[in-house]
Amino acid sequence: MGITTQWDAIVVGAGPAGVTAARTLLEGGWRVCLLDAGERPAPSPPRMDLSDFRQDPRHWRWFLGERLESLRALERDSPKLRTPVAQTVLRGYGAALQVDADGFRVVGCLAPGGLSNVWGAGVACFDAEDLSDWPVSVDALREAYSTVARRIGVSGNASDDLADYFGRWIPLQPPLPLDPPADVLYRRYERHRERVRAVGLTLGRSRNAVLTESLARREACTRCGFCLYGCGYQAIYNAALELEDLRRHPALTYVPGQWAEHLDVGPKGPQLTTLDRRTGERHAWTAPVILLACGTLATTRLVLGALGWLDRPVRLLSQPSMGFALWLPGCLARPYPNRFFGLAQLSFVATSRAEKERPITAGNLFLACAVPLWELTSRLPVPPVWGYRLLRDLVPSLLLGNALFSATFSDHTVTLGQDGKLRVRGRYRPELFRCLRQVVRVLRRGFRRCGAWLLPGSVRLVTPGADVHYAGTLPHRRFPGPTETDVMGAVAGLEGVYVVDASVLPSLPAKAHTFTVMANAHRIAMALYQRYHRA
Amino acid sequence: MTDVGRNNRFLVVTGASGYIGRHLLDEARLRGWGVIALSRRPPHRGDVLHIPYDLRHSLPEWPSMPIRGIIHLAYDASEKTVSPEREVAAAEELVIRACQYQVPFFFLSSQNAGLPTRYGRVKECIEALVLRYGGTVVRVGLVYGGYRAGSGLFWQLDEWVRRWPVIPFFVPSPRVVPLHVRDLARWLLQAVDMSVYGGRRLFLHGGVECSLNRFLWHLCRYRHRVWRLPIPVPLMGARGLTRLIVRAFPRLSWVAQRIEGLIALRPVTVAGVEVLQVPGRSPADGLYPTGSGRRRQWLREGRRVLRRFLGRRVPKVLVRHYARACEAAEVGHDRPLSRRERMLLAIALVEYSPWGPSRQVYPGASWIGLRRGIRLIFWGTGTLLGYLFHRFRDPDPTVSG
Repeated sequence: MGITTQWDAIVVGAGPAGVTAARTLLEGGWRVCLLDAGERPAPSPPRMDLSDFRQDPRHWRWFLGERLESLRALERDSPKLRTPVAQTVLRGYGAALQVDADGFRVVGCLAPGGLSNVWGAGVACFDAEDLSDWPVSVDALREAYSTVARRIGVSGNASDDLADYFGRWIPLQPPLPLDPPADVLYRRYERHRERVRAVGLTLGRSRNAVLTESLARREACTRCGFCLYGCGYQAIYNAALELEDLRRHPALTYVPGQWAEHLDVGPKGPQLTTLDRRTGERHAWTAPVILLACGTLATTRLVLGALGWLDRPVRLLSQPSMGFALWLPGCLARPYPNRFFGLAQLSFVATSRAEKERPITAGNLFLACAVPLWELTSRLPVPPVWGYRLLRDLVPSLLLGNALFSATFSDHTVTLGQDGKLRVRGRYRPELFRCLRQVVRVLRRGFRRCGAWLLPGSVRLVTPGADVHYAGTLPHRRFPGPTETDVMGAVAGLEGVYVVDASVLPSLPAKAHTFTVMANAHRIAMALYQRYHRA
Repeated sequence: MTDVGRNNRFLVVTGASGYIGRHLLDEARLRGWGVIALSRRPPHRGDVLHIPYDLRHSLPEWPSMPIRGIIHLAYDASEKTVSPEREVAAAEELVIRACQYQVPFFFLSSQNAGLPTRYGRVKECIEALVLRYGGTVVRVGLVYGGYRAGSGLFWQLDEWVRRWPVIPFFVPSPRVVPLHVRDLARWLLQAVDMSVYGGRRLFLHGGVECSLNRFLWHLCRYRHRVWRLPIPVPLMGARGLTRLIVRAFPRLSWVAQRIEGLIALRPVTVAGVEVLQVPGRSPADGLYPTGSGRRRQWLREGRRVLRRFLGRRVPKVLVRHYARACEAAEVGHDRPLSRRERMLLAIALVEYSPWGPSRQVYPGASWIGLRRGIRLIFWGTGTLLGYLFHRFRDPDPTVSG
């Protein structure tokens, strides 16, 4: 192999992709240095039920933040990104990255574990049609999907109507029990399945990276309801947990607080310059292999800077998403549940005959109880007192939904300027709005047949980028051009540099992509290991 | 004295153990000033350099330090131990020392300087002397607030309100210009730093001018939280009364002079006095024990807002947390919480409390269901109308459904 430096590989970024790649290389016997911009892990919530915890009036600090950070973050679209925990881990990312975004919200994480600190834990596998633009076959990814699923623990139902959509081949733990409004909806769906599917709506149990059976040190979900704020029982997968395990590995060197500033490839191999966020000093790191996993925009910045690709835009795939609310009159007057699961309970796929039965959108349904009442009230276009009085009785019968669209509906670009600023520009394509009307029609009819009403005025498009579903700036190509990567994630012109995060995805269908990013990182790391050992 | 040696700028303060002196010392130490305190009694703080000083004796020497200014606050309030000539001579020694050090000299005078009383005459003499040497004369109205120290006019009023079930209601009421003691201390320190007021006679106006009756009423309401019966007192009668006191009890003449000075205040704008507007606070805020009315404002608002959400008597603990949250939100942010955000905060506090909707038990009685149904229809209709109004006013292409 001829590697003589201190480490065989440097992995930049300790998010889901970076940790997955580091783990795969460590299991192969490599000496790995993991550089992380994060310093302190996100605070962990208490190990008790949410309904009990919020009986103490002092605990508003936990829910709103010591300085009411959550109240001041109303512009953020996702409730998960408004929690004090999220505010803590997301703070300062845009400034550190020097982003100038117009019509696009940049979200990034500066804590160990990356965006898995605030993810929705949704798991979906890309199928053959989703991978049609990829130079990678389904079979090549299938094993990676299974390995990663076994490691992080995925719960779900392998035999419902969405089993094909999510992928049948990954090992699954039993699904979590459904909570009242979702349970009522799903029972009615099962009773009227054919009628609902006839309008193009299919329902199934969600696939989540949440344990229903304990795995290693992680405990099974207790349905404490704290999911929005993290998991005290560690049932929800977080890369920071895996990082804790990895840090005990003798071949791993973990260096926190290192912000990757500059990448260069010289005669001695790739060299990375980082800024120590604690001391303000700059350090240089060299290794035969550098794996970039510091998030789509940060990785793009490093690669474009190293290639000298300045003032020339590259495409950014950004999935449009929307939110809506469903009301189940049959659940009116039910009490608030004491124990519940706060992430996705049910998933749906909306299809259109014009699109040859391909999903035009897919999404998840959550309990409205999981979202703070003050936050739901803030979304209503009426004075808070009115909103509160309406919602306090309505919330136990409400479900909130989100839906993802394919990234083909958006036109976004990223440009690294001469001045060092990363400019993100773009908009949604006009076709999206036509599609949105179609989707709303399908959802309204379909859910109506399940006994649920799509609340008027509740459908809302999310600001581009706000739910962190973007990728694909350095896509895998069979014959990569400039600013593209080969099937191994190698960037043409940057010998020894491999990209393993979401920036290498060639396409983004209407599915959550984090699980695929982790599987792809595992695939690339395995391929690297095999290539060097064969050599 | 603990760390005075580490400071690179020092202030000499006479009368440092008095009411204004104590607050000035606190403010100076807070802002990193080293202080040389000249007073008969040791000052209340251990981190200043104390040099015993009595107006009857000559000015003592102090160690060589980088002095930036001298503030003269000392005055014999009892008017028994120090003669008027000695008061003037002591002031002259101080102002000469300031000239030797080439530092600004500030003399704290009164709105009543120049009145035909002993107090007024002495203050006027010292003022003339200070101006002759290029020092600054600072006249103030009614200095109030802070913590109890000395026996100044404010503390005599305070004592009255605390002890007696009635307060005088002067007819007509004299006007006072209240200035909070911390605002005064803050301005004095800034003035020493700027040193641009040499040779001027200034009247510090905190932006508030009110009747003495109103001030007394605020004292009852905000400082002592008590109700006192106002007794109408004709102003002329009060003057006659003070003269009688002077004749009957000559030893209490200084008290009578204080009362006289209070009810016969000189107007703020007199010849040779510049009125200087300084940042001040309203008496309603300044008389509050914390010196700020913010907490009280939040408590009141919290009680009112939370009641709208709870629909019942609001537990005190919830109101306290509302006020604490509002205060916490102001730290480190340039923008205070908007009204809408405070309403949402109230919802959050109710939600995260034992009285929140998640703890409500819904009895199965049909009339309760009916009541809630009517309630839902009412608020649902309201919300729908609000939504339609919002939509009509500001059409949003991304909203549909």
